[in-house]
Amino acid sequence: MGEQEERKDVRIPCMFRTMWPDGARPRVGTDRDVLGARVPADVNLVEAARVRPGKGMSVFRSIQQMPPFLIPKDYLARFPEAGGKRGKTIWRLGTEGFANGPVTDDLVLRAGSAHGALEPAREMPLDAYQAALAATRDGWVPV
Amino acid sequence: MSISPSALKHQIEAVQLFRLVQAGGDESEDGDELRDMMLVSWEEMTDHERELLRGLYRDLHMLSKDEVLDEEPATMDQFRVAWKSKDYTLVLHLLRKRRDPGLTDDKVAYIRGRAWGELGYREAALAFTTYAADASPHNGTYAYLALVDAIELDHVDEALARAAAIEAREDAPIRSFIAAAHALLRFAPDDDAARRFYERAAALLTRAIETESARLPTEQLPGLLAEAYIELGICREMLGDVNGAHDSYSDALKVDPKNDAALTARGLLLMNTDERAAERDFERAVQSGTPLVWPYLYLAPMYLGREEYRACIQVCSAAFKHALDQGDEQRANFYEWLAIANRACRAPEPIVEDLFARAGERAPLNLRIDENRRRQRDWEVVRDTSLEESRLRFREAHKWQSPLPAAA
Repeated sequence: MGEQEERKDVRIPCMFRTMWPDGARPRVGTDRDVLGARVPADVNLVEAARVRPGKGMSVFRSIQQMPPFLIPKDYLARFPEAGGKRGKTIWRLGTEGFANGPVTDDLVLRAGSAHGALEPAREMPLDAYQAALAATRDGWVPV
Repeated sequence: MSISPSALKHQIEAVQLFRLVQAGGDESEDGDELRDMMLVSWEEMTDHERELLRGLYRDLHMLSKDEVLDEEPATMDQFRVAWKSKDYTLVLHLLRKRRDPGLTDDKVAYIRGRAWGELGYREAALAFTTYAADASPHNGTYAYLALVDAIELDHVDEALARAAAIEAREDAPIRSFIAAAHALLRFAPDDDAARRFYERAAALLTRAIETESARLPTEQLPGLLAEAYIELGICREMLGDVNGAHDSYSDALKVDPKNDAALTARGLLLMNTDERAAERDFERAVQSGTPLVWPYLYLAPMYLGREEYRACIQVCSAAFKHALDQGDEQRANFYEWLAIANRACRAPEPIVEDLFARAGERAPLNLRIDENRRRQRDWEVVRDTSLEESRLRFREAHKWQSPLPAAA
């Protein structure tokens, strides 16, 4: 991650997501529990290949507020309620408060009280949205 | 505090997930799909329910020996105070801090089962009572509780498997025999195979009765023994042994003379052969204020037929007050008989007409009610529920509603 991007990261809302690892960063893709949106479950499709805000890739405010069944059992020592599949990692993106707002030029966070969605900032091609999610890969750090 | 449907659904899903993991199926698509469903119920719950069910996940880890205890220990005194004050949430919380070696796994599971059950999370409770029963197979109370929970949650296969396990034991407590028989009676199939279920249930009940009867009279539990005799009577009726059924109901009344279910069962059984004896049983049941509709339904027309109008009015009124299981057909009969008895007693006509109207509202296709309304005498007194149907419905209701004996 470059110096300019690191400065950007400071303003990114803090969010957590359980994903399969690929080396030191989350795996990119369109399946469950990877960095990317599942189609059609996680996207608001306008037409076959275009998406608009309203839905997005799930994220959480904190690990404490993640449902226990999404916290991998590898985290049992720290989170004794963990009931998620082993082998996955919990990743954090950003450091600022979990609130509605831009994450990158193409992504916004729609934040609920505990759960949120990383949505397209505006209507755009599905590929562009997936690419925007994938572009955050280096910003995610394992927890 | 009431529990939301989402929280009740989520506890079932959580138990399913842990069972799936235990069975090695977590790597399958089933696990992912289940988690997708769980997210829906999780988000619909209240914050309080989510917090409580986080604890359930911690507790369920004991099933796979993965439980992580809190660092800060709880004392047995704290635990006893919480249990005594029935603060079951605190009991569960303190169990996650346990250190006392006396709290073995089976005991912890048993207490968790009781606590989650008291909090209204019955599926979660079953997971723990089952664990306790399997961890300590010689403990009769655990075996009994696991079976009762399975019966009450309609887990047919599990209940029948546990009943079979109790059947194979020689040292099970009487409660277990009765609960196992109850499971067989409740879940007997509708086909020819049912006979075998009734035979097995009858054998278990006979063992229960023999065991309990062998105790000193001062140590016997009359209610428990009576219930065993009644269920044995029902089994014998289902097997076509009318004399045996009569003996069982009479035995129930020897140990518990005011048992309304036994009086009702024997009364219905005697209706074909000794109506006078049946009437005496129904009278005793009505005097006890039974919530069962059948004694009222048979006694009222008997009085009406003998022109004992005041007695008929009393019985019909008592039925409306006490009988909880009456349907529209029975209500229509009670209103019709009340109307007839009141007309015979020369009650004001608007009252009589109102009673006939109420009867007609509950049985709009019953032409006889209107014919009786037009008559001033020679009324046609007919009970619209047949004897066969009355017996069947009594047995069915008993199978589903009779209380299972409480655990020791």
